[in-house]
Amino acid sequence: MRRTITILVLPALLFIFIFFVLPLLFLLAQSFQDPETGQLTLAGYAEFFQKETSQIIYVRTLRLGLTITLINIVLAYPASYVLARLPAKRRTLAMSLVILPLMTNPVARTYAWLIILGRTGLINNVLLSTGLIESPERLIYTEGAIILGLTQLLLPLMILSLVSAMENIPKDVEEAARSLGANGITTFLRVIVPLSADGLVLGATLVFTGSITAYVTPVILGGNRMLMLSTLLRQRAMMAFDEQGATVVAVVMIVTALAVNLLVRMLRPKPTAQR
Amino acid sequence: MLKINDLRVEYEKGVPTLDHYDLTVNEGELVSLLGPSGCGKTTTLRAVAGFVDTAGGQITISGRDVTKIPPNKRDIGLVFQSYALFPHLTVNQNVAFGLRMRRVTKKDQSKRVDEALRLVDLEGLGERRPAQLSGGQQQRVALARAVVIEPQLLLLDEPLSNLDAKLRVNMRTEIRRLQQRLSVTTLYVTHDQIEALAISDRVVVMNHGRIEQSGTPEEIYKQPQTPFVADFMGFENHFAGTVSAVDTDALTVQAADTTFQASQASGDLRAGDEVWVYFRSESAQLAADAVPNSVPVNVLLRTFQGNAIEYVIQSDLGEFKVRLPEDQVRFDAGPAYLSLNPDSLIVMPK
Repeated sequence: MRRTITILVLPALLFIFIFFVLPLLFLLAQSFQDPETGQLTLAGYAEFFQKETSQIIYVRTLRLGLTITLINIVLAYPASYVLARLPAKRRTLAMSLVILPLMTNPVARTYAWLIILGRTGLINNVLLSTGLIESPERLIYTEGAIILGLTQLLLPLMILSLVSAMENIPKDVEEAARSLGANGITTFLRVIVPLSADGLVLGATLVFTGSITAYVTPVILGGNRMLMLSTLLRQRAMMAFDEQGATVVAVVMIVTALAVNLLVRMLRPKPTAQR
Repeated sequence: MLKINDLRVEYEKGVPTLDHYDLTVNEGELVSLLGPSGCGKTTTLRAVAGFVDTAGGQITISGRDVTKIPPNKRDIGLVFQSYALFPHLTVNQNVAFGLRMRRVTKKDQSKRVDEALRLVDLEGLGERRPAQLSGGQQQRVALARAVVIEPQLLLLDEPLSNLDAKLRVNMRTEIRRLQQRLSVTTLYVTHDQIEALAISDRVVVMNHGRIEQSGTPEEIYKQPQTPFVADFMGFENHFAGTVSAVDTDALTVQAADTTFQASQASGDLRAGDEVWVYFRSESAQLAADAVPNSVPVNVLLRTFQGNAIEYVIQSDLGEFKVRLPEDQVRFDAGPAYLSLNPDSLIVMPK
């Protein structure tokens, strides 16, 4: 039995090792190598962390990731609660609507934002015609645009995580809190939130990782004016042909994502055994 | 104390689960709502707790109209079938929850929590989490959590259904003792007639959203007033008949070719009324020869049931079950007489 399992898992493991782990190891090695001499060096990292532009981009990426995660939590919590308490049939329908954005092409979806946020886009047109502004405002290539685009993209992940956690909270427990004198908000904060903490941790990790590694949205809505790690990586690799610089950015991005995941895992409340 | 007046509840518009429903529970009384699933007993309790919208009528607790008041302001203690403890909180925190909501000081909180846990025999388990407790212990925590806030009204929704049979009997006694000690007005929902009879001051039998009969456990057990209550209370046998004569304390019923004397009657029966006659399988007798109040029968089957012997018999009035003590003369398959004591017959209008 054990041997059968090993054999069954082996092909997938091999695939992942050859096409994922190995390239990553090469990437890691390359980031520590001097491109000319091939010797071990920390110069790539020193340059990344000392240069002001890459510092700004790194901090911006973290800040945007955090902001987007917080906005997602605030938007998703009440909605998820309502969804989790819908009767099963209507919940299935509502959930398929929630994941609809995930099934549209990311490029198409992001270009749709240009129609709204562009110089001659919807918002500028409305503001100009009402006389609130005199010349078009620059709305794209701003942090705000990236936040909007990524929040829209990642909200379904947050909602999915929270709903699946909240579905497991028995209605009785909520009613018990109500009967003991807790109003709706207190019940939500003291019962629903702690009991859906697992979903919150999962959702927040997905959204944070998703936003610091996202590519299409920052390219289209941030452009070269508002670089994030992912777009910086492309710039280094495809435009500046600075291969080592690109590998450094890649490693920083991967390590940051992993570190945040580990940190959240360590900080999360002890999983409470459910009945 | 608790008054329900002309209550109407609809889960689906136009389809009432409860309609024209009246119920009164007096101060310190334990009233149980008894009935099969879907009879509206849990709906009644949930309406009192404030978890279902009412489509009409009025609910008052201690003279205060709570019909439109949210559950958290009704001052009730509620115990669920599932216990509904907060899994993320310790036993102490669970019990203290209602006190925190009432802004009781930390010092008083821990004093009252300790007291409540002592009351349900759970001293020393305050730091545990619900998942670390047995089902019976969890139910005690739920009880402590509900009574620690000293509610005006205690509501229990099938609190023993998730426990095994032996524990159920013990917990039943404990709940009753606790209720009497605190003399808290209590509404108790159950589908188990033995539980209802054992624990209640008054039993309210419900069916299809209506009250069939309300009375002391003895009244309900001995004098059911409707076929439904008789069935539910274990009157296994009945037959149809016609009242032929009514005396002050006796009733004569004609059924097939036999005349029966019955000493009790529910409602006002007159000669000529079509009636049902109910009797318990253990209150009937078998005889070898004809005796007064008896009917010839054919014994079909005899089964040994430990302390009793059960017979399945066939007569002109239908098929009946009779249970006789194990040490009595046994009857073999074949002709015999079913003898019915006038006191054991319940006659009710058809």
